[in-house]
Amino acid sequence: MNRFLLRRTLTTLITLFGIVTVVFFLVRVLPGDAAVLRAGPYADAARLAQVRAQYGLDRPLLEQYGTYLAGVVHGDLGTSTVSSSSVTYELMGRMPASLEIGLYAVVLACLIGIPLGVLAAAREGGWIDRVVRLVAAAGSAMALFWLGLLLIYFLFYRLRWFPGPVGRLPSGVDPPATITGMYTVDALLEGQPDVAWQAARALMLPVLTLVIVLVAPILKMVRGSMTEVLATDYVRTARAMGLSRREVLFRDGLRNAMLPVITAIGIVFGYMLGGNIIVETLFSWPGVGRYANQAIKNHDLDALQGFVILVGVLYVLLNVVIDICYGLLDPRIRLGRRSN
Amino acid sequence: MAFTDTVRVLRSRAPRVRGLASPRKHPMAAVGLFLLLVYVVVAIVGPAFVGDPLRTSAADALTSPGATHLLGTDRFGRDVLARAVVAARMDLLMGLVIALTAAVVGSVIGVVAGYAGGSVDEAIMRVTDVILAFPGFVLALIIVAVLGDGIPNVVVAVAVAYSPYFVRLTRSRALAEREREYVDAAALSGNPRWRIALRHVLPNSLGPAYTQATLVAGWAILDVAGLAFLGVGIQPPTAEWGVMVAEGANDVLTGAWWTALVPGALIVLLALAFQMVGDDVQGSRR
Amino acid sequence: MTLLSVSGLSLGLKHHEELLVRDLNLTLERGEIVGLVGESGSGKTMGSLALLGLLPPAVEVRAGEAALDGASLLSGSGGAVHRRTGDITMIFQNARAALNPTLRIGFQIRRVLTAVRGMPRREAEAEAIRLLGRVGIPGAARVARAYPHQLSGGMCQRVVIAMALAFQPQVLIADEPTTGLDVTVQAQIFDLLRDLVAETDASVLFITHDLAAVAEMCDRVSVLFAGQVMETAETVELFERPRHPYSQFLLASLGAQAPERADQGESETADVGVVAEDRGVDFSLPGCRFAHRCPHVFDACNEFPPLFPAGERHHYSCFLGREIPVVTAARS
Repeated sequence: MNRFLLRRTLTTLITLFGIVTVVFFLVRVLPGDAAVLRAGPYADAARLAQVRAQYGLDRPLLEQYGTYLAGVVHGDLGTSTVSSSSVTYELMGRMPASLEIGLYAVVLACLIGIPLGVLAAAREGGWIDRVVRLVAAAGSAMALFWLGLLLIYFLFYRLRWFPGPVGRLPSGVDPPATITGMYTVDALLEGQPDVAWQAARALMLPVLTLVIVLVAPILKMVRGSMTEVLATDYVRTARAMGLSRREVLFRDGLRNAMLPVITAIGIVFGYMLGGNIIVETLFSWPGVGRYANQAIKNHDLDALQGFVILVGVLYVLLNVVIDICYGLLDPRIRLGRRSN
Repeated sequence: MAFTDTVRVLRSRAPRVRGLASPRKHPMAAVGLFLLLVYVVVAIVGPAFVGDPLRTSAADALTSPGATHLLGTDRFGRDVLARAVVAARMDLLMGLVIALTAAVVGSVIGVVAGYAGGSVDEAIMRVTDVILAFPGFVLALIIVAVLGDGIPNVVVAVAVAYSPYFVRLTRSRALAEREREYVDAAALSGNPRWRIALRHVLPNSLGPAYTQATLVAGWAILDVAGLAFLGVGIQPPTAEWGVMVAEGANDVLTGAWWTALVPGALIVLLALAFQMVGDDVQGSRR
Repeated sequence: MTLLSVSGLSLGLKHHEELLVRDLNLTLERGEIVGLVGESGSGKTMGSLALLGLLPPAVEVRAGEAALDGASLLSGSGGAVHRRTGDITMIFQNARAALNPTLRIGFQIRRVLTAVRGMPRREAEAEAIRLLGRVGIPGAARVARAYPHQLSGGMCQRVVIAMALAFQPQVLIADEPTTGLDVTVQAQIFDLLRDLVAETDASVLFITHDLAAVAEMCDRVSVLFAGQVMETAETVELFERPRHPYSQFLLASLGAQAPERADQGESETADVGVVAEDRGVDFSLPGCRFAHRCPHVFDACNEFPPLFPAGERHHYSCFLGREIPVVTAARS
């Protein structure tokens, strides 16, 4: 297990390093003068010189890289050309909003997807199985932006069940004091259940959009994994030795099938990180996704850079955690392969 | 698992219909292929049969689907059907080109990695890892943001995001193929390594890549449209389904659902068609 | 007294016409070891799974009956029968695959004891260790805490046998239990099985493609080909006087000789005639399944041959009846 951890840490560090490097040089690949891009097409010579000095653009490329790298390691992701404040600060400020959607979506998708996937595999060929397979297939071809609009049209415009895409809270409602930054949680902690409810209602449509898309890969993975496990020799032996279907389902099935599913959750998280941008743009949600979108429109390179690094780092760290969990749960990895 | 093997062996001995796989055995793929055919036909000949997609008319703005405009008009009075049909070419072509590019580039790199082994393989794998460290959509986004708008840039960006799939697929096949006898034979006849890799190992490592390419085509279309929706890569007034959705997004809030939901549905349906073909073939290979 | 009786059992794939297993007839007496011999795909495993109610979802019972101690085994849909202690169980070929890799050995035996025999946990823990010792595993207490990937193949098979002991079956079906294990381990497993049969008076249905194992272990043997029982006889009788062309082919091609004949200097390499190469069986044809390869095939073979008697407890499924000579061609 220790060797496994060591290797994993090493590869992770290399990958993280690679991410920062790639992003840095990618952005520098831009044709045209970096200073002009930052300062805008109307800047005069003096302004350009100022921008150059401010961003260190007149330094040799490698030195810029070194400075940037040093900065990243200290958590400094550069400065936004739009707001002139630290990118790190701005990203951190918007993280809770994105997390609120993302976490609820992933958790809900798992809560729905895992039991349904297990059920579909346990009753292979039954109607649940057929429905699950259909949903899983359809979900893989889904477009988030279209789905979101569809839901907005039917559930907001036609049925008025949910509020429109106006942000985290309706106007006139003040957000709770910041503890975690997630309105639902903070409002409950502050003893403001009505605010929590308003925040929850605003969350429902964006979360629903994401959940529908995220459920598909989970269903597919759980059903597939479970079906495989139920067809193994050890399940067959357990049944031959008199154990009931239900016992085998829960003891052997769940335990062994969940291992690859944990890996799948990592993939789902990746979808979520990417889909976040679209969902936040669509629902005018003040999170990091919309920040990134605005950064693109404004040619705010540092901000965009910072966002991509953030996403990359999160994704890599998450996968490491998942691999470690997997290693802990599978005795073959945990104990190493030794024959007595 | 002995008993499933037995069942499969015995099933395979059952008399089979000669020739192409019967549509009855692969209903999903058949439906998918039919849909794809419809899309292709519409993309090629469609524009000749519909009105002028560029014709604006303030008077006709936002009319709901009906007799004169089968799918309604948008904010500028343009016929949605006409515009959507013209956009079909763009989206379909982009999906195919991206899938092809990713497949070709990825496969070649993968075979090189698998066949060469050693430090070349390690290096390629590390680079692939870094690419895969980003969710595909985010990576494509930043590449387009950096390269600037335009169709070629979008193609490159999305293709780069999907190449690693192919690299991994062909690399593992190449690793297996490398041990086969025909490789030794080729080496003995004096072929240089690069030629063995490209002319002999590559064609035999491509098996799983075909199916993956089909699936990637569908996903690529979703990504391109998604990027366009965000205003990245392909901009209005270019006729592209993602752009149309972006333009029509606000209309949904006022009840004019057809401007955004129709082109969006076309995107999803096309992606679904690719998915059905790819999934079914993948399933039967097992 | 007949413990297990299978008569006319036929199995087929759902939604397909042809039968996988056709008219299988078997009996097992108490304390007997009966062999079931055949190549891969001959239906030996499938037939046994039917007896346990563990057929894969794609396969169904088309006809026939099977009863253990008088009680029918085929009632209820495959898989719905919750098996009780004291009836029938099965051990499979790949022992390591038969154990759940994420559960400890001791637990896997213990849960059979608690679930099927209702033993309280403490007692079950102790009994599991005792059973591990009984099957010849040294350091049983330590092994009980181990995981399957830490054991060798032979040890895994012993563990599976211990599980079967925990179940206390009247009939144990052993499906190629020693394939893949080396010869010394194989011999040990055979000894173990024989001891257990002697001790518990259980019966064993020993499935294998290895005729040498049959010679060593089995009192009686049935030869199976493509789901059709070709011949059934006591072991010595089958080796000395095989009647069915397929049995003759098997024995000849594997160089098996009845010891007496070898002593007399006669070559038992029988003149079986040329057996055609296996092109795959057409399961939809109604006649004898061996017809397409049989050197003695003639018109009658288009019908499914019933079992003809050839001696005491010796039957074979071939229209040649008594016309085919007993196979001993003395080679000059």
